[in-house]
Amino acid sequence: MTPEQARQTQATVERTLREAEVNPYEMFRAQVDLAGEKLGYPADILEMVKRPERVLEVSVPVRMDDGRIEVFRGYRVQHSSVRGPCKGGIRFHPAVTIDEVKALAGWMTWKCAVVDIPLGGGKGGVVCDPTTLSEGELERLTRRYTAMILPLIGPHHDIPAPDVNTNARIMNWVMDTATALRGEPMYGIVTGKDLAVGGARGRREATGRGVVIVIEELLARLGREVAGATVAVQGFGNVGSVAAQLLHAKGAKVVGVSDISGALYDPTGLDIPSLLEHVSRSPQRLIAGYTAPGVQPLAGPEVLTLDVDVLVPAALEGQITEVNAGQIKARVIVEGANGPTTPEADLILEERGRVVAPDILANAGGVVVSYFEWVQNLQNFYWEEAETNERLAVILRRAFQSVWDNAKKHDVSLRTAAFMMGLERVVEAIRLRGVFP
Amino acid sequence: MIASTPSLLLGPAVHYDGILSRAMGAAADRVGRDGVGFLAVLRAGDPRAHSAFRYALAQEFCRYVSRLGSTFRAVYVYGSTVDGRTRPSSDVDIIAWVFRKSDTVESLLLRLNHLLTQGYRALTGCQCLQQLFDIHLVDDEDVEFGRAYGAVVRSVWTAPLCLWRR
Repeated sequence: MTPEQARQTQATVERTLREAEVNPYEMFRAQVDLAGEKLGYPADILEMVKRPERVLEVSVPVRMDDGRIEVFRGYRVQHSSVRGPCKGGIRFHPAVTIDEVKALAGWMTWKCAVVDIPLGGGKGGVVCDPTTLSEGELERLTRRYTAMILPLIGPHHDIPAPDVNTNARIMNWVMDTATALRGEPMYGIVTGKDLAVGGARGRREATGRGVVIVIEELLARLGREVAGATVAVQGFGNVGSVAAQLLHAKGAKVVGVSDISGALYDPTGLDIPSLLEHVSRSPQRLIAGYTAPGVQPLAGPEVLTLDVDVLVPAALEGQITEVNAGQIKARVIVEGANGPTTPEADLILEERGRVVAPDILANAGGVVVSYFEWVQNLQNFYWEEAETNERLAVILRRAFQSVWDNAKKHDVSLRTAAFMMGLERVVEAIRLRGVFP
Repeated sequence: MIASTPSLLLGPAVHYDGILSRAMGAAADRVGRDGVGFLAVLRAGDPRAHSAFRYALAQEFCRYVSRLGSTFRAVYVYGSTVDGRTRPSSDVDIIAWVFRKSDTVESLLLRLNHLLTQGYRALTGCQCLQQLFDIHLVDDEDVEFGRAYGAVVRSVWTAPLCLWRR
């Protein structure tokens, strides 16, 4: 085949494949089957846990700034309420599909079950590009979407939260709309709100704090402790910067950090409080421009392959791949981000004896404190941050122990062990409750 | 787009870029057609085209696993792919000899198979195919003691074709 023919073949195949779509819900079902097979669960039980309990599709008409009406498509999926009210974010994104929302709702069921909080899984989404919407259009879209899904959601049924392209301000609007339509305070209908309207103290730091708790637990199992351990952190946003700050305070040497503006390295340990001060003063909140004696700049990806005890990928998904997994020197990798390790890299890391704490456990601090926010809203009694942190540690340490024990029991990776743990808890709830009628 | 899962929670897709297109290019060469012509005969269900495509896919599978550290030791293919009885709905029967059968290997191959199956369906229009690869893992002990598919690897009567060995 000539190079030109090869190029044409490649173009033909790519054009055809563009028409195909990965179906994330099918992938979710396959993952349940894999875990269910290992646990010896019957097909009928697995079918129950694979299918969502309810799926709602709504049309959301919004008066745009130019006077015309645009109708957006939205979804809310309740995957499972066998362990408690459904919990899961709302995302605003042009690529939202019903199968993606169904898969993510299922994943939330697992995430809540792994950390053993009494909530099930749900997810919502609106097909839209929020970057093209004005503030007013975004608010009207949020409020109308809330009104459309209101028959399904509620503090005792289904509690949304922020997700891709949604934030505290949008959650405030969800709560306010529900309050207006129901005629009573509805703080507990959504989490991730601002502190002044029912948010939880410690929510912003919760995911990073959870990452540090998981690092402590994992190192302890390997006969090490945080004090004196060397750490590299990829990503210096809400998760990475908080993890770096807490690790530094606990005596770890954070020798490398990176964000989209570059990477910094100091073999004697970076002065994290000073770096955080720099970032807080930077207009774009980046590490670029930071200088201190002994600090060397690195190319961004090099932070992943530093010779450290602990690596925290807390940036984007797909950062540790088959290309760089062979060069990763950290003994322990704790996934602060969602999906930072590709399946190929997982295999290479396993072969090299590296231990990976999976995202479903390592970054679950956020969902646990969301649970706390909901509890406080229901009680109308708000905790101090120290109480939140203390309770978070109890839950995550217990969850880690369960996943660790499960990995030993079934001779599987922590990632598979966590998924199996979630499945076991959901199936146990189904068995205890029975099937109505 | 098939390039990656759109979800931020389901994790990244396996890195299978180019497997289908390279296999198609190699198979088209083998049957003496260009890419577009080959796609046409593939969609028409031509057994020779399907056989060549599957063989090339098995070769690409070998290339894929050979990059992943040293977990994979050898890959064998058997069944319709090598005996010329291929139909559009036939899968590619593979025995993968690994150092250790782990959940991580299983999960990786599950994802790869899932994505390639979707891509194959899109390319050929054949929706009846359940899964593109039927993969059986064997480890050293399976082969040494002739257990499960390890017995097939050792068989002198139904010996599978070894496509790749580390």
